[in-house]
Amino acid sequence: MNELLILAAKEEIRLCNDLGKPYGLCLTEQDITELVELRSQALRNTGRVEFGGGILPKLIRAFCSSPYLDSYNYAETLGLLQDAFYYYKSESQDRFSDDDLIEFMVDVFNGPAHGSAELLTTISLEQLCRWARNGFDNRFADEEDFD
Amino acid sequence: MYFPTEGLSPQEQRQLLLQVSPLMVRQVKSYQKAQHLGESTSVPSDLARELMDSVSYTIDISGGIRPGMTLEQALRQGQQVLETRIDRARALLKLVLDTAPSWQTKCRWEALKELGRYLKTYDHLHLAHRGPDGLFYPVLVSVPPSLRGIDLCLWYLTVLWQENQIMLGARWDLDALWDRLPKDCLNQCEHLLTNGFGKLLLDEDPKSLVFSSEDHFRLQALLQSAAPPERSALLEEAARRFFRQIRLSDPAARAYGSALLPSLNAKLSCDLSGDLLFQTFL
Repeated sequence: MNELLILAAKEEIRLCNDLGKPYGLCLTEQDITELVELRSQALRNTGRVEFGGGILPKLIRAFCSSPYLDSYNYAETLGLLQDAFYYYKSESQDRFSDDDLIEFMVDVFNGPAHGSAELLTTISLEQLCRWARNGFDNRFADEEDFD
Repeated sequence: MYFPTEGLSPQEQRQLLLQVSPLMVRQVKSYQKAQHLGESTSVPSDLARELMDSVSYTIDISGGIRPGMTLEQALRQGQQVLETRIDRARALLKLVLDTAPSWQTKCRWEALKELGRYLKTYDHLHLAHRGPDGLFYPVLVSVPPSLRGIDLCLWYLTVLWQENQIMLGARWDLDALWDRLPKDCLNQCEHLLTNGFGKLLLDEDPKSLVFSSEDHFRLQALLQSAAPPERSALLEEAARRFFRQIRLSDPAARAYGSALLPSLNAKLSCDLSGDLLFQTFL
């Protein structure tokens, strides 16, 4: 069954290539295979299971219009964002929906993180916990909060 | 995840395998909606295992998957079976509560409360395999290890109903017996049966359930004069007479009461010279 799930995940990502085309972004078959493998690792590392194709289609949809993505860093950034997503999901104990979490990640990635997925992981963890405790309001956050 | 697929061809089994993933995606969504959680494509592994276990249990409960049936259809069918069993359990709980003796132990009341709580919160759509837990009331028979979910709840309720029938049938002055019960007594039915059998071993009217010292010595003499197989036969006959005396017609309730006999036999096969009889027959 695992093979069937992997095939389904690859197909879903393949279909998302249409979303990236207007921005010159495309994933090769090798990129797709590696991303699916990274997804399996991330799920294992965070003790999670996904029955469907995975979060990547949603991440692609949300991030493909980012000014910080180009054809050189596209696949690698998606891998890091996927990693970060499952980590935050686990850390937040599923208190946030996928869409809410992705929205926050997009805000931070395109904002204070300036397109750095590595920085996103570091910065956003603290912000995410704070949001979980006190609620996140962009109006009262400033860049110092991300240091 | 396992469900019986006997009678299906390899191709049909492969078709079923293709249905598992979309079914589980729907189950996850449905569970999250029911629990007022945000939508997530992924779930913690423990929860994933439980959701899959529930699907297996539900499909199994309706006899598995038949040729031409989709996984979804098999699941719906199983859920309908569960709904029927839930209704039966609710009716049985009401019967047990309505006929429960007012003098039952706190442990028994707690068990009934727990079963009531279980029926209120039982999620037969997503976590059907989960049975009641926190039931510490000791019954006279072992819980069948394969029982899960609503079937485990039904089993407990059936046993409690059988006990109620025994205790209600013994419409005697039981206060004297209850006064002698140890403070940590959890199951009064066990003592009622033990003393009842004991009185009939002595050929005495079991309406007076309490044992005097003289009764103990007479019982000791009787049992010591009989070899263990004879003691066993005497006890069985005493049990049969007891159930006739209390007019217990339900064969399942009689079988439940008779489940005490092996442990009682084992006790009475030991050395009877000490305090054993005093401690066993109150």
